[in-house]
Amino acid sequence: MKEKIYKMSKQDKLREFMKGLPREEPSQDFTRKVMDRVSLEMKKTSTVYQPLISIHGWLKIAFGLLLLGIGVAILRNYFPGGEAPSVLQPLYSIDFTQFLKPFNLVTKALTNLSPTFLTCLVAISLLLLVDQVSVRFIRR
Amino acid sequence: MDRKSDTYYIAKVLEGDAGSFAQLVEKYKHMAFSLSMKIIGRWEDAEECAQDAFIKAYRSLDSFKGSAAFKTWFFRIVYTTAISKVREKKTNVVSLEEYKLSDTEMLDTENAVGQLSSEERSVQLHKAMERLDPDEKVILNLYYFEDLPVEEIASIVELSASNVKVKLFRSRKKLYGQLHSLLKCEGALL
Repeated sequence: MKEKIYKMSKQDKLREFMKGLPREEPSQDFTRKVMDRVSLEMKKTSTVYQPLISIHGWLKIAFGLLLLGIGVAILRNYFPGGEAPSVLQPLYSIDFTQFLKPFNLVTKALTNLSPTFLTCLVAISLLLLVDQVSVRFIRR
Repeated sequence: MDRKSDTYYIAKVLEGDAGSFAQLVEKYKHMAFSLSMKIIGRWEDAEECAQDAFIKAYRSLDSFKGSAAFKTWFFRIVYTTAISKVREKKTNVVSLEEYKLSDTEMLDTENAVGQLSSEERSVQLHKAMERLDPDEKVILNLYYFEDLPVEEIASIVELSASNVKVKLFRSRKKLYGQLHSLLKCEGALL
């Protein structure tokens, strides 16, 4: 019992000694420094951009268009004279040549160019492609 | 000034009012810095460590479930940040052999420390604390300086309450051992 009292009193003495130690103080502008870093953190999180249509979205759209094209091709093959049922008429009437018109204009313009210019164009395009492939896949 | 509870400011920060975090910084900066200082021992590193701890707390504030007090949760962050900083830099870990003091020697040391002027006592205590392991410094600091109960210290340092009690007892003994050797060198003890 005596020993217990002695230990307790010693513990209290140490508390008294420790309490006498001066508390270390951080710098005057500690809060400002932390808050500056907090606002940096906020900026970091606010500069995350997300595309409106994700890669998966674009793949789904492409797949849908492909299915539509195949559907229309099958339909035309099945009803060659245009006698498709009225429900399928809107699909039947889609004219894909309208979508290809801009490409036709480009190919027409290309045929008017000289063979030397065309060779240079193809070479530069290939170099750009190789560069992009190396940046995106190989240098990683 | 009207001081609101920690949970009020935490809710505000989570709602998007980052400015409310300043209230928590203001409230806990002294304790965070003091604890970092006890573990690291260098002013610049301790300041950086305390700041890092606040930023870590800010980032993971949404994971604070409120099962423990914010103070305990935050002290745990300060403790782990400071300990990893010490391990990273491998500084200030001066582990000396344990001094086996008899009860009489401990009592003599205690009396000798008590007779020192408050300034000299602070210097000697500081020196003796510096010679302890980071874990020992933390436990002594949290128990004697911050007045935290053993259970709260246990959740900060991730030990059981009984382990903390054992460590507390050993650290105290080691501290007295260091004080004994320091005072002997100074001639304050025979």
